[in-house]
Parts: sequence; structure tokens; C-alpha cells
Amino acid sequence: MIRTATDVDEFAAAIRTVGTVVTVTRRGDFVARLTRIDLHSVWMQRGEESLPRILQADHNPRRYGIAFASEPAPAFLWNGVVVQHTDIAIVAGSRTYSHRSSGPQRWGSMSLSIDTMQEIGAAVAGRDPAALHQALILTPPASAMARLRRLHAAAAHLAETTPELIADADAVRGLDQLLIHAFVSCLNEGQSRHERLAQGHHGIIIRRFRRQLEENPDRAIYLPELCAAIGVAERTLRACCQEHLGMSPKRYLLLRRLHLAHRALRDSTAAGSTVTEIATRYGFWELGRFAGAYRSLFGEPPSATLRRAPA
Amino acid sequence: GMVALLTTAPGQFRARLAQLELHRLRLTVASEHLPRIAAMAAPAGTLLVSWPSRCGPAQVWGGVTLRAGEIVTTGPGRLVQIRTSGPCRWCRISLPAAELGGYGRALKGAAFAVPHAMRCWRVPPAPFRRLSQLHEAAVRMTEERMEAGMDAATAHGLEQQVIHALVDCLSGPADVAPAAEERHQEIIADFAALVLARWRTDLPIGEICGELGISARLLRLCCERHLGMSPACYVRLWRMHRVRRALQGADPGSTGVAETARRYGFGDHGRFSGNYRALFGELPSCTLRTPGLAASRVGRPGRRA
Repeated sequence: MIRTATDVDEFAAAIRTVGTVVTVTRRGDFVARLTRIDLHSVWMQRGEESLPRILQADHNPRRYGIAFASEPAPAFLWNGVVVQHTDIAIVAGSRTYSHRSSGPQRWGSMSLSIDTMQEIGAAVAGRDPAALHQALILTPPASAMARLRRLHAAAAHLAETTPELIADADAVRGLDQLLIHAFVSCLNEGQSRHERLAQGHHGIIIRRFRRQLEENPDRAIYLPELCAAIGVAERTLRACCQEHLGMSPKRYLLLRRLHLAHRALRDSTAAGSTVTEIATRYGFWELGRFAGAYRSLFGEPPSATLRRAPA
Repeated sequence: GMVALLTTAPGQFRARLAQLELHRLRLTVASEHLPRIAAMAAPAGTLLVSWPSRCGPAQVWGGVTLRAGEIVTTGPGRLVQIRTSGPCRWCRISLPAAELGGYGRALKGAAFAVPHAMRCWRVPPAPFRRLSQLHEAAVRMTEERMEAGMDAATAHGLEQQVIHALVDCLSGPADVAPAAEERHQEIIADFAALVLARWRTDLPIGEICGELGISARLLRLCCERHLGMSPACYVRLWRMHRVRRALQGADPGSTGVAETARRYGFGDHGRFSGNYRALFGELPSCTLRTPGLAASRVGRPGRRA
């Protein structure tokens, strides 16, 4: 299944994750292309995004997954840890994760069911299964990484150009096995970094943070009520957000409000809507400053967006 | 809010008051035309946060001269005398103390405490700027562009931002008033209460001092600092304003200036007229003749959220 999204919300809905929140961090038109392929045991996805963004989601506890850059690219932040294109990020264990990209990127991911992982556990010789769940980042040997990338890309290419092949059970099983083999090689020989345990407390806070965002998708959120709801002081929340999102909660919430205002201006159907009304609804009381920040992020003044609205 | 307001220079008192009522907060920006002494107390459970805006002659709050960038918080139960020496402009936020306490602790931790009594805060420039700019922008925006009022979500968002800015301002230490200053504030509060209750009767200074349990010298010192005048002048000022009020509401046909003045303790008519004119810029007879002049209405009604 291949889908192109030109809207952040579409994109968030299409990715195979739960409770996804995506926030774009740079100006421009966000275009994303997503490919999802379900083989026998392996589920894979490939994404291509035009702008840097922060993605926060819940991981499916019944799967063990990995994510990586599908071509050399600047590092990204995974749960606050820097991941180079030579590394693999592990999506397992802790139920929440955040992925902050630093520019346009192409990424790939794949996952196996926990049962499958246990079956192939023996093949992952010399590795304590528990440790695999604890690790956050893995640096496989270059050859194993290259092989995984090649296979992953090939599988996707096949699915796009010859979909009838993917429908063939034997072909699927074959592909499945190849990918699992490459996956295991990476896990086997990779060097792991950053044990997950250290992530515990901040992970809980970030998860609660995201829950508040999810429960209020259409309204602006502010720090006083957020800190009250999460039960943590601003200073602690700031440390967590710096780690996971690469920015302070205040900045993040501001960015989010700008996006909400943009959406409101773009989709405005009420005849008498004004920029003032929408700006103040999302907490912007100094119109000059709002217009400046808006323009920096969206490339046009708020009035221009409003003019193009359906109303 | 304000309990009593006594102008101290001639002219018609004019003030412009812009008020914005949110769910639990009220934001005020006020401009006043004449110097005056006003007594202010916060209603029960409410905290008042005030600051002088723009440059202008200094304002004296509870005997403390406020400088730019400083904030005063007043808790319930304390009557504070605020003295201005010329046209002035000030901003104020009124909010339930519990609201500030709750969010303050949520943001800063258990150490945050709601200030009580009267406290002055020398706030660092950045948080002060954030608070004052947001306050002024919101009130101005509402006045100029939001005739229809604002919806609940907008009001809530503004409240959240104001509370956050406020908590940031009040997170540092307050200026600790020396014990003497606290004592002076108490004395002035007692003195003002006494005048309020007993201005109709003869109030010799000796008797006042006896009741307050302090020396004449101390009383004079406190009055000069807090009220900008001697105790006797303050009592006279009070009475003058009461006469004026009586003259404004009286029927010229059935009342005379002299008897009204006598009723309020001014026996010497000639001297009274002279003092009246010096204070209010017109003769008492003129006040009496001007029809239907109620006590000056202050400003515009507030906007509802």
C-alpha cells in the first residue's frame, strides 16, 4: 500500500502507529510519501518526508521493530538520543517514543511479532533477549547495515512495481526470510547503546505529555494546565522535552498553536472570521509578532491563508 | 477594589478604566487625571497584583515608592493607601488566591507560596516585560477589536498565559519590608479606619494618638510617608470631600453652603471657601449650583468574557 500525504494529519493517520502526533518544525509545504508492506512475519514501512518534524507515538507492545535512515542523512533524535545513519533505532520495550528529524528524510522500518522474535531467538546467538529489548540504539557492522538497506529498498521497489508478485505466497515467504536474516545479522553483531532503564522516569512524563496532546487535538494547550495535568514541575518537563523533542515545552506548545491557527485559517468557513479572532483563540495577542512568526513558518501572512479559505 | 478616593489637587477628577473580565481573572488598565490618595483592599480570597505603567510621577503604595518594573501584591484584609502626585496610569490583575496558588505549585513545585498582606517585588526585566506586554496587548486588543466579546476558549487561553507570566514574576524573593515598615502600614490602616468611622466628630490629634497608642511624632511620620500630608490635613481633606459630595447632591433651593459646611465641621465660612477653591478649583457655591452632578463616574464598563 502506497500513500502520498500532503497534510500532516493524513500522514499521522497513515503511519502504522498508535496515538501519533506529528509536528512540523520548519516552514514549507509538508509532503510525505508512505509505503506499507505486510509480508508474512515482517511488516515494513518506508517513508519520505519533505520537512523536518517531530513524531511521537505509542509503540505496539506485540511487535519488535527497528527504524533507520534509508540513505546517508543528518542524524535524528530518537527518544532524545542522537542516531546516525549508520545506526538502527529500536522500537520495543518502552511504550512511547519520539522521533525528531533534522531535515527532509527517507526512512525505513520493519517489525516482527514478539512470538517470531522468540522463535528466532536461538539464531541470535550469544545475545541475551532481555538485553535486546533494553537497547535503544544499535550500531551494526557496515556490511550488515548495507545489506539490510538494500533488501528493504528492493522489497519496497518490488511491491510498487510488481504488486502481483507480493500477492504470491511463496514470493512473500522468500522475501520474509531474507529480511529476517538480514535483521538478525544486524542484531547479532551490532553494538548496543543506551540501556532503556535510564529512560524510565522521563519516558513516563513524556508519555503523559503526549496523552494530553492527543486528548486535545483541536485546542491550544498551555503550560500551567499541562504541568497540573501531568503532575510535574515546569523545570522537569523542560528537561524531558529537551531530551525527547529537542526543544522546550513552551516552544513546542507555541509551535503547535501556530499550526492550529494555520489550520483554522486555512479551513475557515465562517463568513465573518478575522485573523484577530483566530489569532486570539490560539493565544496570540500581539498581532505583529504573530504575523511575523506565522510568516516564518508558513511562508505567507495569516491574512493570505484566510483569503484562500473556502468561506 | 477602591474604598475611598480623595483627590488632592484642583480639577474635575477623570479616570479611564478599561477592564477585561475572564473566567476567574480580571485585567484592568486605568488612567487617572488628578493626583489623589486612594485606599484599596482586596476582596476575600482575592489577590490583587498591580504595577504603575509608563513613566510618570512616582506612585507610593503603602508608603513604598514604586519604581518602573516593580509589582505590588495585596492580599485580602489589608487596606493599602495609594498616593499619586500627578496624572498616572496603572495596571492590575485580580484573581482568586487559590487559583494562583494551585498553578504556582504546579509550575514551580511545592515551594511556591501565594503572597499575603502587601509585598513589593523587584521583578527581573524579562518576566516583567512578558506580563506587562501581554496584559496591555490583551486589554487594548479587546477594546479596539473585539466588540462582540471573546469566546470561552480564547478567554481560557489568555488566563493561562497571564497566570504563567504572573507565576514567573512572583517566583523570586519579594522585597522584605523591615519590621518598622509593616508597623507603619498597620498604623496608617488603623488611622484611616478611625477617620472613616469618626470624621463627623471632633478629632483632635491628641485623641487619635491616644486611641492608636502612638506618639504624635510617629503618627506624623507615618502620614507624611503614606499619605503625603499631616494627620490634620488628611482629616480635613476627608471632610472637604464629604462636603463636596453633599453639595453635589443637594438642592440649591433648600440648602445653603454655610450651613452644609458647618455640619461637616467647617465653622469659618470665609476660610472654608478659600480652602475649598484651592482644592477643587471652584467655589462651593458653584458646586451647589451645578445641577445633577453625581460623584464622577469612572471610565467605561468592562467587557464580558
